[in-house]
Amino acid sequence: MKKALIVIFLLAFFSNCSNEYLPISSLKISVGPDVNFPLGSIDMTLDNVVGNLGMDTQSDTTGFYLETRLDSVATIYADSLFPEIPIAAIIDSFPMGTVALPQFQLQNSMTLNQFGSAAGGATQVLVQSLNGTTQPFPALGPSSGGTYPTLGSSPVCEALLTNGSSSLSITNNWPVPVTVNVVLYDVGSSAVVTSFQFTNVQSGASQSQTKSLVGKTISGNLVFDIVSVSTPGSSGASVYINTAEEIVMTMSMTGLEAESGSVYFPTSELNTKTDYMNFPMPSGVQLSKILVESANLVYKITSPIQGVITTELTMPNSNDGFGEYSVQINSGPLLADTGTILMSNVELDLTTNPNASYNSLGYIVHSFLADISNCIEFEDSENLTFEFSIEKMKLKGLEGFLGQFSIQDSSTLTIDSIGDLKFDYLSFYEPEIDLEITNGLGIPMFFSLNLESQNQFGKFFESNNDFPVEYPSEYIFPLDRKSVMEIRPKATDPFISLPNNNLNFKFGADIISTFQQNPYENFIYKGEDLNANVILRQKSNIALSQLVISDTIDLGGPIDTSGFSILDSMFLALSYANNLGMEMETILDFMGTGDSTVMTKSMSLMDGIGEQKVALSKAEIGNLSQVSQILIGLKLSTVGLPSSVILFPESSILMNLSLGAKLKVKII
Amino acid sequence: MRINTLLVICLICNSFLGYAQNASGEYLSPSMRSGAYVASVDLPSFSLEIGVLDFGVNLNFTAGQILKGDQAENLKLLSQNRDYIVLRNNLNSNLLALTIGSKSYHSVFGIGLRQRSDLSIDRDLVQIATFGFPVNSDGSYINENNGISGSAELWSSVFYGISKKLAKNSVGLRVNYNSLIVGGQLTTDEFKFSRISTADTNYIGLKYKAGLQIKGAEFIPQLILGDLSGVPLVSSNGRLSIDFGFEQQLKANVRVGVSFKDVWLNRNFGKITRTIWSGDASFTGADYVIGVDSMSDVVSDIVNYDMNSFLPDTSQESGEYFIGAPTSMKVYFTTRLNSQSKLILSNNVTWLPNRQDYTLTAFVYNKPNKILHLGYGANWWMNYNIIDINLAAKILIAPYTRLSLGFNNPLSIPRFGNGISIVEGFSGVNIFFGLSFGKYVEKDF
Repeated sequence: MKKALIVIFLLAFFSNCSNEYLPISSLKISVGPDVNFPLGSIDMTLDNVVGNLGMDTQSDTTGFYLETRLDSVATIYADSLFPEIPIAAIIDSFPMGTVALPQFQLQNSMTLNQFGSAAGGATQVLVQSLNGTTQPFPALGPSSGGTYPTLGSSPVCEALLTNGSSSLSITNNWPVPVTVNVVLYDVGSSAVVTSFQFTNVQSGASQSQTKSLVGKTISGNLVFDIVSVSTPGSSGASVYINTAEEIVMTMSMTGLEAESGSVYFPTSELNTKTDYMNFPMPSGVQLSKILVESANLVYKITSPIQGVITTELTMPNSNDGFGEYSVQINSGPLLADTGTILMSNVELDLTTNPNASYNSLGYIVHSFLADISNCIEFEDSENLTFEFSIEKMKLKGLEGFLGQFSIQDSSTLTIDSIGDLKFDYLSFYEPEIDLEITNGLGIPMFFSLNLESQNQFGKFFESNNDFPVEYPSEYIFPLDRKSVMEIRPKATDPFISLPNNNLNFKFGADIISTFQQNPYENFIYKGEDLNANVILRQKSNIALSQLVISDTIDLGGPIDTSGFSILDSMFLALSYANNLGMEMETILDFMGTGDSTVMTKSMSLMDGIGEQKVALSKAEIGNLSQVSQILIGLKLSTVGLPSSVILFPESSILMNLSLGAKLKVKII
Repeated sequence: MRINTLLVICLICNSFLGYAQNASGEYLSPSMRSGAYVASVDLPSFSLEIGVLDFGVNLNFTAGQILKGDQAENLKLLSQNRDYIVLRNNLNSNLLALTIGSKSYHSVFGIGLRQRSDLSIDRDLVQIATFGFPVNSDGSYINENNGISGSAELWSSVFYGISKKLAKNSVGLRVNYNSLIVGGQLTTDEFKFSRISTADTNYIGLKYKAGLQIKGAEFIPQLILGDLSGVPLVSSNGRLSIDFGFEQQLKANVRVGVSFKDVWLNRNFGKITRTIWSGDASFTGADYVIGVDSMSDVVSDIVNYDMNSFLPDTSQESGEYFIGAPTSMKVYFTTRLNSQSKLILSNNVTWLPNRQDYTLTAFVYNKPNKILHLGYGANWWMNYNIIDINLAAKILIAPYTRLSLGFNNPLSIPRFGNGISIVEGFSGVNIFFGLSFGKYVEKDF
């Protein structure tokens, strides 16, 4: 026991001898703990990212869809379908014919004193002596009674009469019977028109005679020439003699018709004619209504009348916004007999002709004299001719049937990117391509599309033929009808692969505008077009390489690193749970002023759960004082490239960022 | 004699570590022995002791474990190898003690100064400071610890104890009237640090609360200078504690016993102000949703985050002051090796606020003659596997007068001059000395 104790204590003794003394002043402890603080979490849900690409997105349980609209890849303008409207023309005329003049009267009178004066000589003296006496009236004459102009209004300036008569009535107011020979003399032509002989017209009595004027030419300057006047006297009976008593002459013109000459037309009406103007449309084109945007109405009026003639052209059942379309054309010796009138915004009914259901425009031509207050010279054998034609017609719309025809069109689009995204390539599988057709054309149409997509993986074709396009069957607003042609490329084809994906659309439209296709009339109106948009719904079945998403952290100036001296090292740790279906490489560019790169750090985030760390050495920590911005760049690629994966809206990556450091802290 | 000389030399130069009281010295002092082995009747019939002092400073690590080599690494290792880093000291003194008795009955009366201080730093707290808080493979780091606990108290104790032999058994009871002179306690009520960094959680949180109470602070300056004038050594506001024990004689000269020491009937010394530092803050960083938020704004939020929320709020409250002097229990076994020597084996457990210290002690009390009495043996601080070998001697220096002197290792006493230097293996030091008066009785221990 004692020996054992001795051995123990000896060991203790010798071991103790190896102990050394240590100065307490050497106690200088600087610890270097690793610390890390949460900077926060970064949550990236695919739905959020996609939602910020500036595109419409949709989603369902099978994935989500990026919707890209390519507007107006094909457009059929209504006016491109308007048939060319050929010139429609008419020529018509009518003869002037005779002019029936109204009845009119001319009159004058001859006093006894005038007679005496006309007789002259002793007769004149005798007659003058008789005035105011009561005595037997002596026999006088025969002597010329003088010339007396016709008083009264005559519609004739000069006319060759084909019909009519002149009746002269004599009323004797002398106190004795008289015998009178009267000649109706035309001063203008210095010719006797006709003559009248009245015998033994008793005092206070009247006699009349009628003479035909057929074939006579009369003017407006007619005179009564009293060729001879005689009286047997009062046969001894005393009569009161007043030399102012007259023999009154009244002439009545009745039933005059002039075949030429110059007369006052009793009425302005010349002629009214109704007829139809046919548009020689191509076979199969049957138009019932056209809306004229503009057209030239060319006319030519040929008139034999030396006066202004107004020709009024009316198109029945038309509408120019104020009523039936009608134009008036004045023509005459001093006016142009040809001209052009601009038609605009006139709706024409081409169905008024009972003998032609389509393409025939009714019209009424009404001719009349513009002014009948003066004599108008005319010739009954000449015609008034009018010519009308509608030329250079531009349509605004039409109704009817257009027949059958086809049109072709094509367009090419290049899709380079989505929004502002940058990537190496992005391939979409199972895209849904919808050709959304908005149609305001009221015609039956069948659409066909041959779509070729060319990208880095080759050429891919899809087609769809004889697709019936919805169209409005009645002209009732709204007219637009939508129909969607679906194109579904094969699921295995990278039909869309960006960038530089060319889409070549070849469209065909077969128009069958016939009664058999649709008994209701078709219509096309300008502005109501067919427009086809392509809606590219790209399912999230993609293969994506190196999609770059970047953001900038603006630090507001260089980092204040004055307190960083206690840092031996620093790191940025990232714990993540990645079920995006994409892996990413993160690049942190620490930028100084003037966009200079101070340093660059990168890390990779793989599929699943993991952790990454970016470490900064002591020297790099020192360089942070130059950093004023941090550019964060994410390069995303789908897992398992080049195979595709399906991304879901709820796919997300959750990253927890920690800022860690190894401190150098002096405790003692 | 030759063996004893060798033992003394070896003990002087021992490389083992000092711990707590000098068990040998304690046993050599009848008044202290009766305090530690309360039911002991193996006491002199008369002993008067003056100025018996047992002082110890102890660490649960050695100076070399810190100072030698990479000190930061050393600190890390220390925090890995022990639950607490402990710095404690213990002063047990009987200014005056009288032991009298007969073969079957002894009574001890005296007055003493007691001082205990214990500073323990939770290893997890040290690890935060040294290792930091790197998250583990699970992405989480949870550190919930007791932080820093410390107490330092000085109180006087007027005691009276008896031990009585009852057939082959004996019982003992000591009553102590304790007057707290100076006391201070730093306690960490709560310290929880969490750092979780997983794919779906990013969190740092700190919740803590610590408080400090100081009683009799006004006496500290003069006490540091050793000036006891005006210091109320015995006050009316004292508290009672008891020590009690039981011994049984298994056979002739072989006894087993149990002692409870510093069982406080009332630890509460009244209300004093408690200064509290507390904080409860967490930070999860900013939530940035790509495609929704502006990263610059998010960074601005982070940069502008008010880290002051992690700093403590200071408040004060009125709290009871409970003396921290720990209660301990000793189970021991004594046997006579011969007529001159005695072997004492004991296992001691001390209940501290955050830990229990277990000590196994074995030593021999040898009094070969009238002139020199020796105590030598070893303490094994089982918590930290620290063993110290200690030695005490009681020497007749005058008629009826003996000087007791004990230490665990004189070489572990720091050197002063050109700074303070301590031996590599220093983990504490024990010093024991005292004067006792009494008639030597050969059969008495």
